[in-house]
Amino acid sequence: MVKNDEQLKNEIKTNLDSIEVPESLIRFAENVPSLVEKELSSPIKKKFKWKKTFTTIGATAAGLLLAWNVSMTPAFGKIMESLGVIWSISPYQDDNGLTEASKHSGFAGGVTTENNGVSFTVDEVIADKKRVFIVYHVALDKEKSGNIEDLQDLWFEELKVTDEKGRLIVKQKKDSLTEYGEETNGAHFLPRYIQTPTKTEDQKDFYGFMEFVNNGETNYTPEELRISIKNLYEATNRTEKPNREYINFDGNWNLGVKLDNTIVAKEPKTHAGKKFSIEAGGKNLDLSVDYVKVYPTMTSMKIDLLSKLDEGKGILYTYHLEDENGKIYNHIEDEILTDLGNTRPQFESFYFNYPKELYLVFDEVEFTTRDGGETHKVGKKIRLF
Amino acid sequence: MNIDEALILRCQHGEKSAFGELVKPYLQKAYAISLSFLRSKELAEDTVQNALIEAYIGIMEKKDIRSFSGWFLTLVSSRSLDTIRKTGKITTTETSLDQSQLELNGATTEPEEHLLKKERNNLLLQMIMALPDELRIVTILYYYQDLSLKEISQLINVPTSTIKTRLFRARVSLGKVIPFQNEFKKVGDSAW
Repeated sequence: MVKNDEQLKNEIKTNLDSIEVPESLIRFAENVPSLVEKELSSPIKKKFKWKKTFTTIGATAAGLLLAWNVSMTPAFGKIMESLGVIWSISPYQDDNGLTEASKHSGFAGGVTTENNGVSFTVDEVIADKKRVFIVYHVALDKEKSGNIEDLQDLWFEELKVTDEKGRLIVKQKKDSLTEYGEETNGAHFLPRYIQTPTKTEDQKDFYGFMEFVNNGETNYTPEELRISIKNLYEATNRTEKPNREYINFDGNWNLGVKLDNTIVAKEPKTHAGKKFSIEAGGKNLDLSVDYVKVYPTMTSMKIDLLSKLDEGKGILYTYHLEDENGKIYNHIEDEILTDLGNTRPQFESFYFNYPKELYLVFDEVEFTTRDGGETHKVGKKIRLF
Repeated sequence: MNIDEALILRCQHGEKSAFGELVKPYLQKAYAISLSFLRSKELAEDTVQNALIEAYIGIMEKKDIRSFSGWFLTLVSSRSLDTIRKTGKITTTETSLDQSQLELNGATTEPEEHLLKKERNNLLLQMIMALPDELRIVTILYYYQDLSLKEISQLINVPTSTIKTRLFRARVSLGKVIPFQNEFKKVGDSAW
């Protein structure tokens, strides 16, 4: 941690430590034992015997950031529409390129495996040479599991994803740090988001998704993703019923998902880079777009800052892509972000509705300085093709 | 055996007042974390209450708790994230902070330097609260709760590289009130 990072930490602590605790919360804390005792003394109705355990806190909230509601058998586009409403964390909430790519996916769906009355099904896979997006669901056999109305989400005790050669992509295990695969031949295929199984609005099944992105500069997509899951357990405590026991579903679910080649086979469309200058805050910045690669699910780009920054200054851009008709393609994420002006941003894809012209539009440039930073409107359009 | 361990044992032996003693030193931090995640006094209080119940049950079930403070605050963070998920809470960077909600401490007459610092602190707090969820949460977890990148990665289930990117963006935004040296260049390098 650098010296100024320590300063930021101290300032944040000073600020948050100044927040007062409500008296009612202090009183509540003192009364917790009596409240729990009272609750425990009331009769408990159990429809079947649940194995009692407590979730590990580190894993409990994993994946809970991405909230969503979907219909029972959703088309991907429909899922994304639903996600758009409440997908408050993800940078992909307006990722229309992914939705469009889903329409061209030839994945037949319905790859499923069942164990101990619980099935795990991969419903949709959208994959190109950059990114793989999987939608899955977990269904509980109601005969065996009972009608657990307040069971809202599940977590994997162990989740392992490898490619067809058994090379690790990700391994998550309760009480253990997540392991990621290594970079191979310039390709680094990593999970970006893994949404744990979350009950749908219709209170039937539990849906989730997994997104993987190749953060390397070499094209790569596995031929097959092998997903292994060991045991499912309840992720969220029903604290309104403190005597309600946690629920486990023991079992092993292993399946291989062959990625549909319809989109994977499509080579990214590559455009030559160019050098240009933009003016921000009275300074000329010489930049170079080294390449533009348009994949079916995203547009990837590498930008270098050729100008030398003053000592102690950093730089960050706000930008988007725009076509000849003014249609905007949003900046969705970065493969690499630096404050040197060198970055590999990712934008929404237009692969299936290719524009005639494409512009990189710099909306703002922000200089980060030790004096507090400055943001400058730019509004400069650079024609990429 | 430290004080917390002794209080946990007293709880397990049925001494009800021990639980209040155990959690009291951590309540302020727990509430501040939850409030900064949720930006709602009511939701934060409900969430910390639920975490308190869960903590008590964990103790009575003799859960293996090696460091109560770390365990409890992580529990609060987890439950706050859970609340965000449940409520489908949508926040934007344009959200203005109602300062009265935060109930900041502070004397009415203070030396000028203190006032300036306080003004800057208030601005920082407002800026933290105005950060988008994904930036604000990692900022609190990293800078306030002192979790490591790996711990945050495990908690919110995103790779450390993404967390570094988010922390970078948060730092840039907060840099408007806290001047930084920009000596780290590539996210993931020695600055972290």
